[in-house]
Amino acid sequence: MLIQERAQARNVDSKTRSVGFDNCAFGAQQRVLQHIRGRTGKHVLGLSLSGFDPTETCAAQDFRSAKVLFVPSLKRDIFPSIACTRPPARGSHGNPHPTARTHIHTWRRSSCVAAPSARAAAGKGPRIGFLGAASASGYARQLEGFRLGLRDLGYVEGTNIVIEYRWAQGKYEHLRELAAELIRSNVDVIVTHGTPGALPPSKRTRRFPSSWPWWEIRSLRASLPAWRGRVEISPDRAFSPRNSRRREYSFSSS
Amino acid sequence: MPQMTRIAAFMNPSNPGGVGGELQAMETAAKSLKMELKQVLVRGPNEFESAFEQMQQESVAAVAISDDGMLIANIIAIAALATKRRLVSIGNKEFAQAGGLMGYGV
Repeated sequence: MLIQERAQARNVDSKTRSVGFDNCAFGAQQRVLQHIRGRTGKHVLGLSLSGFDPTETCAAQDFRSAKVLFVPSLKRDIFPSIACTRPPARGSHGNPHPTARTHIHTWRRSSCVAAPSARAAAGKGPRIGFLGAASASGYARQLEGFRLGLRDLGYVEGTNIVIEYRWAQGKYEHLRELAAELIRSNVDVIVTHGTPGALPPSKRTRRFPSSWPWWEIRSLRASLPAWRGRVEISPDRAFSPRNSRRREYSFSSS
Repeated sequence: MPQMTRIAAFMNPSNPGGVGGELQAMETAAKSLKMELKQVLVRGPNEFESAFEQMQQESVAAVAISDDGMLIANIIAIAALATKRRLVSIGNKEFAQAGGLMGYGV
């Protein structure tokens, strides 16, 4: 979402550069991640509020290969927190009260580290499309966590970042249409939650590439420079108030 | 609850994540524990009351609330209903925070 470079694709949909959702540890989302990555080379944003450690579950592969894993509220205990619990070690009884937070492995492009202040003057900034399966009132608490997490990173809604909300009000059949709306408005990233929001389109919708672009864009992958850098962040270090603007990621080759 | 034999999965059938993988896993677990798993499917808040009514009639001993957007958005109402019917219940963290008996997850 914070990619400075613009993918020069003709398709208007390709301007939506990232796709994100939570619960990456679950099968459906995992398959979507694979598909997005494999077919389009889109930057994939993974959020998880699941109790699985992305480094140890079957979702680990997806986390490892995600181009962008943007975690706005790592330290928050509410959505979209990626603070994960470590599953019990094999053969042990495990900890019935999983609280230990583990390191999150993030792979990101160096250019993703945008300077929020640069856009602040214009009163604009990256635009997030929030695709909500339920309602704004029902998700008020989670949304607050999302905003607080963004704030930790220096992004303040309405000041240097814009969030556009679309709520399906629990009617999941409207999600596709709402997603299409967000895509048409050229948001930089779509954030959604739960399986319905992240589900791939049906065979029928596949005939309408404008509604779900990441299935149809074949050229984008080639246009993106290869990225092999890898960042490992520990929540405690990276998100302490002192480092809250997080310019200090170290990169190592993977 | 060692004497528990019948439990319920409280799910939104519109969410393929719940009625797909989650339900299958629960059925496997219930089978190994020799428990009967009832599916209680609700599409919206207007179906909550009758769903709890149904569970009580079927002598369900405990209910697990599925992780679903619509359910999470109405978690306070669900927790209140479970408490009112004195049904043993478990859900996500939000469920316990809303007054449900147990919650599990980050």
